[in-house]
Amino acid sequence: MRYSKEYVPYHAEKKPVFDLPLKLESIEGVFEECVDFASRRITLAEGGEGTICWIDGMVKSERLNDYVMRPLITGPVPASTTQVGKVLGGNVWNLDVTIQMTVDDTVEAMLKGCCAIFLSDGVLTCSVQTEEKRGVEGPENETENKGARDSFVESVRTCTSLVRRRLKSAKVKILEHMVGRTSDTAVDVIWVDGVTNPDLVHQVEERISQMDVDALLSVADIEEYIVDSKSTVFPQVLFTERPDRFCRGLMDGRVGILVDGIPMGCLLPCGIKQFMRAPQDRSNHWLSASLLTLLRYACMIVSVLLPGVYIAITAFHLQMIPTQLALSIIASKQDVPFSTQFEVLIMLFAFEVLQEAGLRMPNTIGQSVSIIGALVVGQAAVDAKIVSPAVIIVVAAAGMAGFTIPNLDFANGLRIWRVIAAIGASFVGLFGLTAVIIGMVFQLSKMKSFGVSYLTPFSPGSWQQKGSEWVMRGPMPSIKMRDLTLRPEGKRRQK
Amino acid sequence: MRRIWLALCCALTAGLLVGCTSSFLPKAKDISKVELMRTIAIDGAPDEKVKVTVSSGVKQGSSGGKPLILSDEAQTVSSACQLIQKSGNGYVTYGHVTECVVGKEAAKAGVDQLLDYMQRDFEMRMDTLIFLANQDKAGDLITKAATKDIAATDRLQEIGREMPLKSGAWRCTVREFLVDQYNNGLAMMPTLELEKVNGEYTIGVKGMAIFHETKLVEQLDEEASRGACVLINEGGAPNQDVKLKDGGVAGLKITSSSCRWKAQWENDNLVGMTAEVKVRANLAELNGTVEFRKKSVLHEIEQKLAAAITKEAISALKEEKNHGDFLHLERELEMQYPGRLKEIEAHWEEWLKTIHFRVKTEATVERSYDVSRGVEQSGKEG
Repeated sequence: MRYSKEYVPYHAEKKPVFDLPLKLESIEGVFEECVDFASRRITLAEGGEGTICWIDGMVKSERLNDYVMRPLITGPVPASTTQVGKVLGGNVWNLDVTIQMTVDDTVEAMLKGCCAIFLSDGVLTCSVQTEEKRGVEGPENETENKGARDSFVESVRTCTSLVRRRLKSAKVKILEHMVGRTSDTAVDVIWVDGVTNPDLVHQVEERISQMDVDALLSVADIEEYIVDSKSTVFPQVLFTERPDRFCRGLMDGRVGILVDGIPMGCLLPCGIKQFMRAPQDRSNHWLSASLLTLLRYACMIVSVLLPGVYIAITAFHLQMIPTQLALSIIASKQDVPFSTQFEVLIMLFAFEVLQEAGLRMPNTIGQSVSIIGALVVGQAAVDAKIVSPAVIIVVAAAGMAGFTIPNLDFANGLRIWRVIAAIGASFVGLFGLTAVIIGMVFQLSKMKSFGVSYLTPFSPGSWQQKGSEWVMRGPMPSIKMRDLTLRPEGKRRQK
Repeated sequence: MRRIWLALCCALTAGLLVGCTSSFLPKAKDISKVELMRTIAIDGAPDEKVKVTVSSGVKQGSSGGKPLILSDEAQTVSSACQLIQKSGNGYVTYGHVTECVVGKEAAKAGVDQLLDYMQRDFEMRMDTLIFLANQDKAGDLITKAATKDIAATDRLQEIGREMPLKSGAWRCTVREFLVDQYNNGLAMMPTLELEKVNGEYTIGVKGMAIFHETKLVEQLDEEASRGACVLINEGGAPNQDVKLKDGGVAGLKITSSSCRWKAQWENDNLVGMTAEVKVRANLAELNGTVEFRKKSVLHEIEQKLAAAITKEAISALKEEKNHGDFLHLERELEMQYPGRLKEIEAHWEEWLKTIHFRVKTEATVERSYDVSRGVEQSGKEG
């Protein structure tokens, strides 16, 4: 089939989706060709008949049997003139019983795990959904020695409960939006009243409410709709699987987003400082945490610039390096047929291929791929005089330095800029490298995340904040203030 | 995105309109094809030309072997260096030249051309060590000193490191030479001598040489060179052997040496300058039947050491009187007496002829190694 390039106009969501009278036949028609749709006709205890419909797999059988069907068929009949009144008066032992008026609402409730009871004078839905879901487990990617061992799960309600268990205050506000025409995914916006800037909350709410997508199934489905700049490779929201980190962000004055089906919390606004912080920074001694943060910044620079600097100084500005080092590089480069630029770029490519292959494989095979790759690309390539050992060291050092970046999204952004820097240096040495650095800094400096400069705390003014955290973390008792660049409503953190 | 494209188009258009070619941008050179030159030797040549000889270090890796030595002649040093490019296998680069040797013949004619080249050329480094070859041709020195395993650069770097041990010369860079030269026209550089040991040539140091207005005027002997080292605090940690009255010899390791100048004024006239030299040494070795624990023996050692140092200093000061202020005492005096700056500047040359130099040396032997002390102590413990 050939796809035409004709313009497909936007069409607003049709409301109601199913413009049908609310009766059993309509629901059966809606769920036609749905093998998991089930229904059963029952005779009620007070006489008369009804039909119960549900989606198989979405409901818990015991609940449906014991708390809906059994009382309807055998239970005492409350006094009421209508069948619906009798059910609502106690014929069904259920916490959540709702009278439905439209097919849309009934279908929506059934898809969320309710059963629909069709009576002669109305339709009710009862919540009997199954709780089959992944239990709360330890974080896989953000491990910490001295921190909590729980992490977010796919169920948004479990996630909000994890937040509530840490922040036991009614000031923690949660608003829910349903996003996705087909997926109808719950997106919860969380903030701390009196701490977070209300304008920020309003801004986030507005952006989420403007989302009109068919399905919200992945992180990118929400991230790329709410961020300010879409063309940058750097992340603008912080995803964390740790509830403690999420709560810390909320208490800093950030807005959190939890999405049903995504076992991660999203914090915004976020800048470079948040991406360079590791979860354990809060549990380590302040001095070691600060030094490790500085180390990460140094590694960030090394990771981006090292291959480019190597190309620039070895191919263009040889006089810059110490003589002995130059002699060693020349000795190691003997008999290698390729130019330095080609060597570095091909090794960067090989490094990325290995990394990607390792990630795509199951853990056990992934390790083997890494080991074989390291052996093949490293030792064998040097022995075969395809690349010089110095290039292997440079690319490996840049790659290793990149792994120290705590945030994977940010590290991925740096990977792309590392290649761009190497390409820039390949053409005109340090001139090209400098042009790439200027481009990167230019892009970073003009980026804003919900009005907060991305380069905070290096942006003008942000370093003047007294009593709040800067690049280095002071002792906790000395951090009196929240990050004022977020313009929090409650500026002070502690006495 | 549209704005980015617009900015890129504007930048491209601007780049095309400026009229510059891409020649101002650096060109890539394959590092494996680069010949790193380490030592440059400058000699005179017929027809007022300059002969430049350059030597690489010992080659490493699979193409290892004897250092590459190339030379050519031209009217200027830079032209000769450019001509050398033609004779090399790869691209000859001078960015890693760490030593510069000037032939005696060229030094007598003046090294201003070389110094100018070193200052102006973007590849050359001001931290390059500069030496005078105690033979007519410096090119011969670096050529003969090169073997399969060693290049002139290796030996010259070693000399730069070992100079403080002998204290008969000090390492001098192009920058330091120029600073002294600009100060009063007098500067010094160490002298190298080609020596033949066991049939193989090696390079040694032979004192310092004085340059006046970039021309070689005098080569100091060993004693005067050591004295100059002491007087301008360039001495490192040399050894000094002192002969004692009873025939024994004391080997002294000088641990520190400092010289402080004091001026004697009469009204506004400088009548004398005194070098107050303080030397501290350890007794490293004692030959003969000398009882070193006696105070009188130590005193004698100290006196002999002071006398030896004084003699060396006086020898250097005699040369100062003869050849001008190569020790840069005027600069020293100006630093000490900033209030008399104008007078010093106006009358220094006149005063230098008439002033009387004194040297006051105070030598202290602070420590020795008393082996018997350890034996006694362990005996007590037992």
